[in-house]
Amino acid sequence: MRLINTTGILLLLLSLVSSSVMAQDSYTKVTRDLETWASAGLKLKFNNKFAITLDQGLRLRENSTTTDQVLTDFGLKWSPIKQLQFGFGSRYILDRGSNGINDNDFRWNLDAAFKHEVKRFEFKYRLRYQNKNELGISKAEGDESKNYLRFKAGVDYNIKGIKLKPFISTEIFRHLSSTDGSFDNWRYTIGADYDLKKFGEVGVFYRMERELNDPYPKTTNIVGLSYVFTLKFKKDEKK
Amino acid sequence: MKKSKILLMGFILILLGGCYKETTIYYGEGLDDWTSSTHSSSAVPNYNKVFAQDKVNRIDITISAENWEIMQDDLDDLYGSSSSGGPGGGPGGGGTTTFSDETPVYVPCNVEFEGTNWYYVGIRYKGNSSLSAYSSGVNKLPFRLEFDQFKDDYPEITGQTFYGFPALSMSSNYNDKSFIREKVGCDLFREFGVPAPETAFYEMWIDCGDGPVYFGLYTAVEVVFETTLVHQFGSESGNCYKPDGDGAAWASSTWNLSDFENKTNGGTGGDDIVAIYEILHSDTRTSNPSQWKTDLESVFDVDGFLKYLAVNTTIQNWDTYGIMTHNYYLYNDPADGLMKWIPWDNNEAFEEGKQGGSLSFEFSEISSAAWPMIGYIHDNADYEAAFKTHINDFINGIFEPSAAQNRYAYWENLIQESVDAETSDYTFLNNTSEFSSAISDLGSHASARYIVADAYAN
Repeated sequence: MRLINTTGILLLLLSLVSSSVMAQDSYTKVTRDLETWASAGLKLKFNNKFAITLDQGLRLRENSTTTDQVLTDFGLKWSPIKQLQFGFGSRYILDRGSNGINDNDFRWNLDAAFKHEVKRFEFKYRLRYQNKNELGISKAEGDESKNYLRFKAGVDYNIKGIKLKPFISTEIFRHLSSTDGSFDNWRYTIGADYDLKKFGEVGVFYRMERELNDPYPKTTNIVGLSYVFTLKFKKDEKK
Repeated sequence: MKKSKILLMGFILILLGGCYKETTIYYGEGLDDWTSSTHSSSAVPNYNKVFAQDKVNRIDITISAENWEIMQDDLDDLYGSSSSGGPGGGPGGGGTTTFSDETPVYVPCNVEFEGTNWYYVGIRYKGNSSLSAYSSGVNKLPFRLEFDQFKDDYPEITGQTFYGFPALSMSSNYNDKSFIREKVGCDLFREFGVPAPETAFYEMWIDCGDGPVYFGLYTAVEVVFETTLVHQFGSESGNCYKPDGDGAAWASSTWNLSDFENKTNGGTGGDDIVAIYEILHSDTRTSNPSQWKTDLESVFDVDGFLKYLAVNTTIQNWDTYGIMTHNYYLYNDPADGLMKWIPWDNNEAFEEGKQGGSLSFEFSEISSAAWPMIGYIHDNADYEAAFKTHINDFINGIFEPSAAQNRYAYWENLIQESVDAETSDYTFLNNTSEFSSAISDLGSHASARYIVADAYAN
C-alpha cells in the first residue's frame, strides 16, 4: 500500500514536471472573444460649430466577465461648415492586463471628418491620427509610443417619422511604424441610435474587430451601449 | 413578430459563435525537421556539431529574390550604392562606404545544415569595416543569423535555435588572406585562460533566387551574450556590456555611460561600470598604490585583463582597446563579483596593423590618460611584472613559434579546399597563392614576435 502511494506521488510529480516542460514549448493566444463596451457622456454644444464632449467608458472582456479597460475621454469638435469637422480627443485609460496588473495609458488623437447627405442617407468619412503611451514609463524603460492612422467610412439612415437612426461603418487601422505598410486591424459596426429628445440619445451596436497580418488573428465580437446627454447653450441655427 | 424573433435568434447565435477562445501554438508545429535537440530553446548547445574543429561545415541558406532585394536596398540606403549593385559585381569596383549607426534589416531565410532545415531564420548583414568590401563590389560580406528573429510572424519558430545556439555571427574573414586570424585569435585567448567565443569554419552557400552560389569560406563566431557566458562562466545573469564609442576608452575627457550597452539586462552602464571607473581614476593610484590595487581588484579581474593584454599585444591585435574604442565585452561574473574582459573581433590580428600600427609592449605610443585601462594598470610595477610573466608563459607555451606554426599548418590543411573553391566575386584573394603566402607570413610573424616579446619580458 505504501509502495503504491509512493509510486502515485512520484507519478504525480513526474506529470507536473513534464507539463511544466511542455508549457515551455508552446504558448496560448486569445483568438476570439465577446466583449461589452459601455459608455455614458455629456456633450456641451455651444453652437452649430463648436462642442465639447466628456465620456466615461467601461470595457469588459473574456465573454464580458472581466474588466478590460476603464476610459475617460475629453473631446473638442469644430465644424467650420456643415460637411466638415475637425476634432481633438484625449483619453485616459486604466488598462487591466491579462496578468491582472493595471497599466495607465494616455491617448490623444486628431480627426478630420467629412459628411454629405444623399436623400435620407448620410455618408461619413473620418481620418484619425492617434498616439498612445503608457504613463510613468519612459522610452528608455521600453515604452514606445504607438502611432496609428485610422480610416473610417460609414452611412446613417434617417427613417422618416421614427427617432431611430440605424447605421453601418467600417474602419481600418495602420500602425505607423509598420515597415511593410500593412494594416493591423479591421472593424465592422452595425447599430442604431435612438433620440430621446431632451433626455439625450441612446445607442446600441454590434462590432466585429479582426486583427490583420497576424498568423493567429484575434476576432473580437463587441456588443456596445452608449448614452449621451446634450446641453445646448444656443438654439440650433437653421442651416 | 416572427421577423423580430428570427433576428433575435440570429443575433444570439452570432454572440454564441463569438465566445472566448484560446489557441495553443506548439513550437515546431508543422515543421518537419524540428526536434528538441536540434531546434528548441531547451536544446543543450552542441559545440562539437556547430563548432567542429576537425572539418569545414557547409551551411546552405535560401532567401527569396524579393527578400534578397530588400537586403541589398537596405545596404544601399545605409552605406551608399555598391558599384556592382549587388551580386555579380567584381573586385576593384568603385563606390563609397560610410559607417552607419543603423543596424541592417533582417529578412527571413531557410537554413539547411546536414540535410536538416531551420525555418524563417532572420539573416542580416553585420559589421563595420568588414562591410566596406561592399563598396568595392566584393559580395563576400559578413552575416548574422538569428534563429527566432521572426517569431512574431511565425509563432511556431519561437525559441528556435541551431543545436542550442540562438544566433551565429558569420565572419567573412575580411582583410585576412590567411582566413584563420579570427579563429586562431579566439582559440589562443581561450586556451590561455581568457574568455573568448568559440569559432569554426563554414562554407556559405546562398540561393537568392538563381540557385546556390558559393559565397566563400566564413568563420562562424559564437555570440558572446547568447551562449558564451553560460559555457565559460556558468551564468548569464550578470551584466554583459558591449562598450562602443568614445566612452569605451575609459578616459575622463570622453567618459559617458551610454557607450556601455548592457546586452543581458538592458539599458547602459550601471553602478558596476561606475565603480571600476572611479577606482581606475582615483588619486590613490599614485598616493597609495597598494590600496588602489586592492580596490581595483575588488571589482575588476585585473589578472584576467593582464592575461588578455599579454596575448593581445603579442599577437598585435590592433583593432581594439588601445587604438579603437570597440571590440571587447565586459561581464560582471556573479561567481566572484568581478568584471571580466572578453575580446571580440580578431580578424585583423597577427600583423603590424593600421591606425598607426599595433601597440608596443611598452605602450609608449599612447597616453595613459587617453587609454587608462592599459596605461594606469601597466604603469603599476606589480602589474607590469605580472604582465611580463604572462607574456613569458604565452610565448613559451601555446604561442611558442613552432607550436604556432604547427597550429597554422593544421588549419591551412583543413581549409585549403574551401579556399581554392572561392570565386572572383566572392573572395578577398587575387590568386590562390596569396593564401599559402599569408599562412607563411603568420609563421614568420610568430617567430618575430617571440624575439620582441622575449626582449621586453626578460
